[in-house]
Amino acid sequence: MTSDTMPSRLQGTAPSRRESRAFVATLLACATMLVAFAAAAGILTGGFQSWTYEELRARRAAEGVLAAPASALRGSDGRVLQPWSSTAASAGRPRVYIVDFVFTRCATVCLSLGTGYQQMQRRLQNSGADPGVRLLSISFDVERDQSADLAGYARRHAADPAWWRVAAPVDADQNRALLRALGVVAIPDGAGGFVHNAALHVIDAQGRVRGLHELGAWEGALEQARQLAAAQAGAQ
Amino acid sequence: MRAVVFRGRRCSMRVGLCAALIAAPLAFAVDPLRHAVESRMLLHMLVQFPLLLAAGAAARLLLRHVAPRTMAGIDAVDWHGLSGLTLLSLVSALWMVPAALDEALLDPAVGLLKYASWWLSGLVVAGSWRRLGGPLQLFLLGNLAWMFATAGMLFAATPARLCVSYLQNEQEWTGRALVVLALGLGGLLIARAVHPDPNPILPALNPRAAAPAAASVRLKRQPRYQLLGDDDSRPFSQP
Repeated sequence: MTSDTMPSRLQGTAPSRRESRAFVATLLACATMLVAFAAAAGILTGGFQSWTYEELRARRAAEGVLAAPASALRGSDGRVLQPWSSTAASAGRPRVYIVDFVFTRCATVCLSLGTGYQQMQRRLQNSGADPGVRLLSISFDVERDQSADLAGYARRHAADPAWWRVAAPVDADQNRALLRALGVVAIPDGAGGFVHNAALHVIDAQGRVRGLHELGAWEGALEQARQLAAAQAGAQ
Repeated sequence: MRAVVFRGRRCSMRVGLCAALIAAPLAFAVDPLRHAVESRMLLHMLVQFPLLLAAGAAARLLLRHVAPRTMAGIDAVDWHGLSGLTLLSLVSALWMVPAALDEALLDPAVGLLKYASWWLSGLVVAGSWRRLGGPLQLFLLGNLAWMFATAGMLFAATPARLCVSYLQNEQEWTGRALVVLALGLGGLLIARAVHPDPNPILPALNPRAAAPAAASVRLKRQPRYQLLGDDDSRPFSQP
């Protein structure tokens, strides 16, 4: 304690040689720290491009590395729905889903989400031939949102089950895995509800998120989903 | 004799405080405690980070006895305290980034990096502080104050959530608190600039400033080295 904090010029013999050795070692240490810092900051910000988690998530989606695990969802009618699976051999026709995350008690952002979904639903209903696009609202409040709650939400927003399903993961583990994989974070808002990073996720038949769109930008989301669905149908 | 008794009591109090600080990071291994602190942005940035830093600084006092050679090795690559200055500046900058704060909560590996980097900064910079000398101490304080003020004003003024893990009003409060912290550091900087005391800021880490009789410190310390079987009684900073 007495000596390690003492200025080095007061210690021992041959100070200049030891000083210069310490100087070089310190320079090397500082250079190493700078490199480690640049590496850590570069990884955490996606190459110094994204300073928030939401930006990072959008980049991951654009790079095609954001993917949902195969998830079993229970619908508002009680039936289990498996919207996507990582194995290519999924039963039936591949579909592209436009997914948002909700909790049925939500009275703020979910209302505007609902309006966007109603408009998308109207477009899909009027599109003539089946474009292979479906709407999906997933509740992350799995403890609370039972089938009746999901059905109530669907009714309030006039969801047509042929085009727009309201569902929740079958259990808390699947819910956690799905949210974690997609980077959706819901935190208590202090008034009994939740605040979460809301966005429209365009998810293909393999569960890959192909695009993230802001809530208001539903037209872009719908257009991307249509093109993806057409491409998937063409590939089959 | 009276001075020794007095010093002994003072030391044991310091040892108690240091023991508490050294053990403090273990609290974050308990899930509910960690969650309680990390789920609030203000507590995460302005309680947990400084606590980890202080724990690292306190651990220095323990590691000096447990691993004297490692500590001597660290001090040997800290010419005029520059390594400590660099490390603390970089670590502070990294954990001001909103994406890094979120990732630290969502990815356990990043969380571990956060704990380790703050703790190590404390460990290193506690030794660097006196070596830095006046001008570089002012530079470090000014650098931190500038960084906290910038990040704080950004957090307070951004009209959207920057972290997915925190509410916006918490972000605003944290921003304001960071600005207050920056002002406090600026005040310390000015006090340090006009005050001749070699170490008014971290007196606990500088017992020589509190106890002018350095010889009595040596008398007290040397038998302890022998007790631990360390035959090398040379000062630690000498390789």
